[in-house]
Amino acid sequence: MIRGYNIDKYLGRDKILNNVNINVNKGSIYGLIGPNGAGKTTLLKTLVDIYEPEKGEVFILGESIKDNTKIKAKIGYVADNLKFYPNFKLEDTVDFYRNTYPFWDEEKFIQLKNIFKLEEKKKLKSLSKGMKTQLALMLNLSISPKILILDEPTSGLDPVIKRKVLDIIIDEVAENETTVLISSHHLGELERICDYIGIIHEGQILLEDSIEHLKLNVRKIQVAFKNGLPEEIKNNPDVLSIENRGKVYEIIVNENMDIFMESIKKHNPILLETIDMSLEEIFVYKMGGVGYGFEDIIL
Amino acid sequence: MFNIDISSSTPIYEQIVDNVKEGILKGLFEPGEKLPSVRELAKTMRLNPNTVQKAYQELERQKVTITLRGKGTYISTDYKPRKDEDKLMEVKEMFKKGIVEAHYMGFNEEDIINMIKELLEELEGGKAND
Amino acid sequence: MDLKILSFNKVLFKKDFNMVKFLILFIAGMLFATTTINIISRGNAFNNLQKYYMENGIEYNREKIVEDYKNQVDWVLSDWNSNGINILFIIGMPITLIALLFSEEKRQRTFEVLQVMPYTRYEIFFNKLLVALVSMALPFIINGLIMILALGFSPTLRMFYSVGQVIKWILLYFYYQLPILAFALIFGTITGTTVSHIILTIIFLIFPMGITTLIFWNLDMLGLNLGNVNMFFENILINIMNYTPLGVLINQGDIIYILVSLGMIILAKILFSKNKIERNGETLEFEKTESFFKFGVAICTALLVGLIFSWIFNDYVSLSQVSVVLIMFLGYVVGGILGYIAAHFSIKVNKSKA
Repeated sequence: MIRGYNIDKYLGRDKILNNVNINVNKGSIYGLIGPNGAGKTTLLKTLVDIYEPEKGEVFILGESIKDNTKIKAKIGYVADNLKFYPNFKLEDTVDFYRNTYPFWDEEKFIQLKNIFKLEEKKKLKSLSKGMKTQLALMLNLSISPKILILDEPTSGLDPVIKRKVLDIIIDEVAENETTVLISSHHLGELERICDYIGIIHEGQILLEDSIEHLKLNVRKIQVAFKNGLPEEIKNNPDVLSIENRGKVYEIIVNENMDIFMESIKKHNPILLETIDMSLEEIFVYKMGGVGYGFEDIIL
Repeated sequence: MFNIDISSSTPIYEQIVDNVKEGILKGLFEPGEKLPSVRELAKTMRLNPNTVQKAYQELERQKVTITLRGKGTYISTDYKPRKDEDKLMEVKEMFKKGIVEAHYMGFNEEDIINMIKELLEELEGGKAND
Repeated sequence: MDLKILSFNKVLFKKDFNMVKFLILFIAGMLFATTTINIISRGNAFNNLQKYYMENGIEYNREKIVEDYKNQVDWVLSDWNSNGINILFIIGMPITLIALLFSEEKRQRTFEVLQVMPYTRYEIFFNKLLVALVSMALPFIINGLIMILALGFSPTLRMFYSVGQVIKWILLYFYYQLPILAFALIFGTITGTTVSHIILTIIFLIFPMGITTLIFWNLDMLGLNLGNVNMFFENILINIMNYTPLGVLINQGDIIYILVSLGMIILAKILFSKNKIERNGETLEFEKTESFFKFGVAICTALLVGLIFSWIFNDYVSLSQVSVVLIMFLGYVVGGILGYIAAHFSIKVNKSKA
């Protein structure tokens, strides 16, 4: 549904995106995670044709996004720093959207209006950030989008509104099979609702996978042997990390858990347990835990 | 309604499946009873609808539930637990763990078997009382 | 590729028109106060004058008075020099329109909103251009209609002017404003902020004449005998002016200006398509123009300061030609450096912190 191929993007002299490939499948909720400055906003803006990549291409719903009004009519974009016309009143903005987008759903808009309760006569410049996000969400959902792209939609929101926003996104996907791409520097709230995750760091996508796949594949095992850790285990290419306290070894395996377990059992361990790993931990080990500052991303 | 642990290594859809099965065992769900729709469950539990969808598909695959088009998903009336090889291994491992622990704590074979009986009664107890 | 040339969009047009509504009303009001009132009040003025003469038994030549009034009205309607404020309309209105329609959107970063919406760059450009053209004409049309209506109500006025003249007036001022608009439009697409847009447009409007004067005076100061050229300097300036958009002021109804305006508009459209959203808010739209800009400013300030130095020193001391040259050279260096730094700084201050 959303595909970015080999994207390079410069802002001034700085290379913000470096050969980025991203793939968001239809109907999934894809979380783009990365620390501040990693390039999340730049990537999202490139995907919706605000920025033109110096290299690479963006395809949405199977077509190139560049100047493509047909596809843009089906994309909802909620920016993290909402720039509307400051002197427009709310109702003017609604009017503008209503008349611009061919698939505007008035009923849906009224429903959302009742949930969010924003005053129509207010000028945009007088709205708080939270209110602007709500407005943007309201508008972009009313256009009956097939694709919803949100840039840190929950940052700066109080917990009540945050929950409202996430609920509405889930609702949207549940009712309409909308494809959602949502960026955040905060893993916690996304872990629950996303089924796919992409990690971006210093302009590169380091990892892109389904959460399920990650959880099934990256596993932690506690094991102990009478005579210490066998060489074969130590040298197994699927092993991501080995730590030990005394005789007990904690091993992180990347893939092929079954095969690995077989090879462990061959050596008759005196202790063998699988330990739950949180998504956070999975990331840390998968990234090699070396210098990516992941501890900052994840709360 | 369900008990989902996001930080567990068990995928969420699997947890949902397990929850439903446990619910049936405990008597929370009657055969023939209608489960919430994918949409409703996703909304209530704030989970990804695809995940819920996958759980429902798995439940249907395991013949725990039946989906009637246009009507909804229902607990099947003739749910017979199948012997799933991998699951069997897992269950065996779990028992083994429990037994080892109990043994370490000083329980003998008889104690352990009694404990199991008690637990079974507890779980099915709700059902038995209907 | 948009093959539709006429890409009118009601929603965009309305939005853009609302941005400039107040400006249209303001100019219309100003026009009314300076031109329209002047003209339509002549009916009453004439009648009162006649009455005064008759009541006081003064001899008067009615035909001459009518002739005078006719000439005056004609002068007001056909000569932009008839009122100092006209030049303000001709230059100020187009530049302000482009500043509001293009530069302000860049400054407020609202192009981002439009860019995500199902509008093509061309649609956005076309509708803004249309609003600008309509806005340029509207104040004149409104006042023109008032003057034409006045003709209907007052037979006296019919002696002084005709519908044809009013229409000519409307068309004339559209003709005057068009090249300025096209010129401002180009600068709207190569600058990223309102301030740099307005300043650069005005500077480049008068640049050809300005730089010629500067060079001329510099050469003069440096002692290079310009001989006969001195006498015809004014003519030279006027000739050069013909090649700038301001040339319309001295050439009424020359089609070449209309054609060149069209050309500039097409150029502006091409430049606008190449605009990058991320450069909105920067002084200059295209990074490659930054060096050119800095050196250009440096050269101009060099010439200016060189001249100023020579004036200052000439006032105090009578110098030999060699000394004058040296002082001017010093001025060039100082001016050049100052100019370069100022230009550099004006770019830096808007540099994106992203």
